[in-house]
Amino acid sequence: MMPAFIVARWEYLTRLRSKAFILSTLLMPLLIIAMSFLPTLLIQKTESDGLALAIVDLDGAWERDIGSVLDERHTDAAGRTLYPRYYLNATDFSQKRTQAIELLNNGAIDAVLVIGDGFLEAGTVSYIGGKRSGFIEQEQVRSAVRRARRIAIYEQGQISIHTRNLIEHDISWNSYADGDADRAVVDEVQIFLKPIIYTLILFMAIFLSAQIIMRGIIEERGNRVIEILLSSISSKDLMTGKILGIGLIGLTQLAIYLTVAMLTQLYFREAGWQWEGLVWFLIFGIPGYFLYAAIFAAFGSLFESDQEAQQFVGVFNIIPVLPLLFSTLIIMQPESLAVRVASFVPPITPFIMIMRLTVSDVAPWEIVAPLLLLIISAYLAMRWAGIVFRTAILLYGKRATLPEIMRWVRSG
Amino acid sequence: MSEPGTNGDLVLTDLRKAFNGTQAVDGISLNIKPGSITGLLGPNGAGKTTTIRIVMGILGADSGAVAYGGQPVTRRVSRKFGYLPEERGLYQKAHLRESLIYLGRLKGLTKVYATQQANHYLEVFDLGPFATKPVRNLSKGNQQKVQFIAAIIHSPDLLILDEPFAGLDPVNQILLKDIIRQEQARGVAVLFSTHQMEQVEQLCDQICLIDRGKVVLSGALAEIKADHGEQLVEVAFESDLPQGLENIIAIVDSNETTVIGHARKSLAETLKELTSLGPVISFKVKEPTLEHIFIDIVGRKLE
Repeated sequence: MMPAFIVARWEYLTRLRSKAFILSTLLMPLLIIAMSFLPTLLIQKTESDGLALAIVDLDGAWERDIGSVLDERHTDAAGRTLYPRYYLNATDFSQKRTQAIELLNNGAIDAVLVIGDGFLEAGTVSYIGGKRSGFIEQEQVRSAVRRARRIAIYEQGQISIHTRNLIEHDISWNSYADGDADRAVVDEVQIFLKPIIYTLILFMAIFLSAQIIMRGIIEERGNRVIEILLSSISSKDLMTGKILGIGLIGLTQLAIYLTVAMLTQLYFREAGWQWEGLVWFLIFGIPGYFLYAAIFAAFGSLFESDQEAQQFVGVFNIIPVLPLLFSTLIIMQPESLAVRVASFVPPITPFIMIMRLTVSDVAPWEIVAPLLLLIISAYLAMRWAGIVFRTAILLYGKRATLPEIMRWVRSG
Repeated sequence: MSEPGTNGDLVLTDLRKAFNGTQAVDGISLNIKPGSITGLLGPNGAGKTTTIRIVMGILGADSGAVAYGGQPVTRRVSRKFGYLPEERGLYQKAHLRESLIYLGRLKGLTKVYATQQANHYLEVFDLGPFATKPVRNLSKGNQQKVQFIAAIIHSPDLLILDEPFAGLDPVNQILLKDIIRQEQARGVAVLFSTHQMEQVEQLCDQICLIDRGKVVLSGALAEIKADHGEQLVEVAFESDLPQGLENIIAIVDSNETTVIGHARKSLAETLKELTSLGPVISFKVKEPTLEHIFIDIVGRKLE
């Protein structure tokens, strides 16, 4: 067996059997499952327990109208309203307001709604929330106020029930994919979430593996195993073997995660699995991994501690975050000039292309050209990293300077 | 007689290596024959480890050549060498036997043979009970034995040991010496670096003494001792060393009451002159130690 494959096998098997791998591989699917349940749990939590309310208005008309909407919409199992109103005995508007605020401060009520003169025209309303008033309660009160005002406008304009119904009835928006009217309706949330999730998984897969390589090299350098290894095999074989073995670990972990995600989706009978996305993920992810793995391997050979190395690789951690920061632009305008040009910048090519390919039809040459550029960059990075690795790995107690590194690369 | 550099000779020719303007190795030449044990001696920073790393192909020389059996030492050739580096390290979390099999496989062994060899040496070094334990569970001395096994697991043609006895207790030092002698008997050439002269005197057939990157003395140990053994005497005085001693003895080493050095005249005349300086309680003719030879040549002690 070739030395690089012996190293790759060792790296793969020792890490596969490590507690860290077993734990992280078990924990991540649990996280995926938890994330599948979490939205359901959160949706259930949107049913509020309601709160005690005081509505301050000029003549009590709005209090009655808004109150009836709240009572109609929000009741408990016994049919009692979840938004009981506190009767304000003051007659003057400002006195009512003062009384309501006092009640709020005393904790007798949870929120005060102040509706001033000209509310029907201006639509201005103030909501003063207490400690129990949360986002959901405020939204439910707001929705009731909006409804009560709309009814008042209809009544004032003598708009027929039929016209009211037409206005109230929202349009039904059906979206079909790829010009095919038979294909499933595409969820708008999915359009945004899917490319971002793919990019996040790619980011994690590449960077976690690259970090493992860097730490592994720093560890071998620290415990001096490196010298025994380099007396048996070349630095090129050693680096290639590490990158291959740890890359395979990443792929194994990814395969496990994807299987769990797929089974979870099947269990919840969600949209079918789209293998096309996975294929792009691998086509751009693998050369992307080699590019970053080479850079991180070179950094690993330059430093004697993880902390030191982390300070210097920080900049490489930021680069792939940029496509995520601009993900809205990339997803909304995947064919814009800026996004198309950015696709040709190798360090961010995998992340941008994953997003573009998930949301639009990219011209074949715009897939092939950035991919070729990425593969060439990964190859050059591996070569240069190999030279830096070979030269720096035995420089104990001395950190190489940038001019030195440049000189090695030029002379290598 | 065969030409140097053939029949498994390791030949170093005018090796040079500088780091940032400092000449670490400055024209070292050496010939090591199969079945011989050669001590590479010198103080810390003399260039021993750099020389060894060049031989192993870990570092490239600026100039000069390393040949084995008449061929330049490439990676394929250096895989036949066993190497115990000065900087010791093992995979702490990995299991002992698995680590040895991996290191054996990197030396070109098949998995089956590497496993056989690992099992054999674990028994020889009394490490069998630890075979499936993580390396970090082993004592420092036992870890050092594991590293030595890693150096010999592939039955090398040449064994290079950098400070092999450092950190070992006397019992394990004896075990290690026995194994080195067994390897020698198998026809293996052994090169080991150390600054512990007594180890060299017990084991080596030949030595190469280096200082500041240069060879200051090399050759067969017995011949070197014979060459430097003329008139070396050890004299003990009853009280403090007297004045004027330098005129009688070229001092190599001394303490408050005892002096070791070369007699400048015949032994009888030297003893007569010494007694005239003060009461002498003992006068011995000594075989020179390597330590004394080193001091003799470079004018300072080994550090």
